[in-house]
Amino acid sequence: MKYWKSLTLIMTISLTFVFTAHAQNAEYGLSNTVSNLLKSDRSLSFGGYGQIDYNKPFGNNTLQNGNLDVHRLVLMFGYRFSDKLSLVSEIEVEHVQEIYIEQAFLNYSFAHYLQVRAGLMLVPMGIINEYHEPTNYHGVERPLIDTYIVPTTWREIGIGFTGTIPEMALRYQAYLMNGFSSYNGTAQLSGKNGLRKGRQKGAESIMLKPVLAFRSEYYGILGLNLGLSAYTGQTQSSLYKSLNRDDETAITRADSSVVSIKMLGVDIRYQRKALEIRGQFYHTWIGNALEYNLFTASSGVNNDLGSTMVGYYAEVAYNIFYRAKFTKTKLVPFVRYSVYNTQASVAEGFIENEDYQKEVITGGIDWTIVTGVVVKADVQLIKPKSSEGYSQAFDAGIAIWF
Amino acid sequence: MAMKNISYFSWILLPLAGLLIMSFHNKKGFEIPLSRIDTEVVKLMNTKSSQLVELTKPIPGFEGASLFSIEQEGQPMGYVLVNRVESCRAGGCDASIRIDQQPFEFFDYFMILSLQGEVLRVRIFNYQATRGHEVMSKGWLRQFVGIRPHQELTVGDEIQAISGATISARAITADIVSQTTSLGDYLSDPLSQR
Repeated sequence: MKYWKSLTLIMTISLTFVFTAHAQNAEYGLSNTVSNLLKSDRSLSFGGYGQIDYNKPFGNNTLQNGNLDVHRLVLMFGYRFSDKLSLVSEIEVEHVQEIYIEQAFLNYSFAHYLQVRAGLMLVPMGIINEYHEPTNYHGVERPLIDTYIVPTTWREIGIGFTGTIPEMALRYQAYLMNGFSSYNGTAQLSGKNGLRKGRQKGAESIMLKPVLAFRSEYYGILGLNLGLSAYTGQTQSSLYKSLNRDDETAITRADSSVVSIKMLGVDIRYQRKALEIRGQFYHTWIGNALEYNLFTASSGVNNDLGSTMVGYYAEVAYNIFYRAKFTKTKLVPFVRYSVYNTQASVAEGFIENEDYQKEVITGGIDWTIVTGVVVKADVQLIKPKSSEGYSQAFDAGIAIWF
Repeated sequence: MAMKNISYFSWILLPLAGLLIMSFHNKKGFEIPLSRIDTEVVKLMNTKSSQLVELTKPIPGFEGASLFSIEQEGQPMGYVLVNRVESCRAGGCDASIRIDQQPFEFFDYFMILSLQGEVLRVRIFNYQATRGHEVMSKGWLRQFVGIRPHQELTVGDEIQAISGATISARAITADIVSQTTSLGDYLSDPLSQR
């Protein structure tokens, strides 16, 4: 019941703002800092986002500490060299002390339907990886499938095209990028973490062959945005370093340390008046998982990377202040049902680990004071297939974006 | 003293006059895509052919816009209005005015209206602004169908905002409100010749 007290406290503080604060009207389609920086006409522009979270597991008659964390604070700088050529960069500080460069790319615009991008870019997969600003999703933390199936924030160095074809109401992106690292002295991919630990993030990354990433979005129906993402390519391995092309044993060994990855994502967003619906579905196929798991066995125990990984969610949200005359803020309760499994299928002879198959129910409320400032609170229930009951956690936080 | 003031102000006035002339040129400069309009009219009115007759008599509120009446076998069927909408300043929404440039980015659109001035269809046909192409979406433009003269519209309320095209969305919404209102006034004026 203590959690309801903190929720009440947040609500009380929040309500004191209600009468003075004004949110801008809801837009159809998402914005992120990159789109803002590229839209800006100033030569130097900046933006940013951040979230400060409170997470606390509860239930089971166990005493638990809560975590208070400046989860991330991000500054983004854009520089316009000319009408056509711009630089976008994103510098992220996680948990107060870990610094990352999340994006750093040049964008050359030939026309609205053809722009060339090169540098450290986000892999265009699903909604959240590209629109990862905390004001762009409901709930304090990013949806779990966008952590375990799509390893948000997933970024690598690459080059490619993007553009908008307004006559067809289509946006597209097509990039040649660096892939995951599957082996770097030890295995980087596993059943527990999926592909997440394999992200090279553009930091002294290694590459033998690039991968292809593609995404298109259709926005031709009012309020609706349909997305299709695809990714295909091989992972990278440190074992290819200085290999003699005639050394078949070494090449076979190195080949066992890589897998092929094909990922397909379908997403839907619908926003009309007070209602918001979202759905995402990802399917990942991993080739060579058997050999990889055997090769990366450690102290006699085989690795457990799945042969397929699946994740999906459906989410409904409703702005209960939509018709309110006394405020322009948005108060949006939401509920999201997610399922994901990093071992939807496994290589022959392996047994699926039921800990990796999870069902998640997230319910909460977001209060948007203005576009760019959201106060959030939610309860997340997680149940692995191996377990009878749900683990419970309360989250609260503030999210900012500008 | 007075002369000195005039010569001083002329440095400001001359460029401003230049800008005015240029924007006037913009207003008159658009080409009307008659065949495209005809295709849409035929589709919408479910007829085999139609005739567009330009109303050349000056009509209050239509400065710059072109108004046609749709006729079939001599019978009026509705109206077509073609206009240019200015969005951001050339060089971008944040750019300061540069005299060597056309002062505004723009796009051209037409709407088909009923005899009562109700909007039946809106299409953007010449988009010359650097950003905000999303407003060209037919799905988004469908929101204007059924709009009547003197109806107030706000982007974000009756008209759903579209991210990445905030300024273009506001510009076309304001223009549609102003043009339908002028048309409504014209139609309800007993002195106007139909």
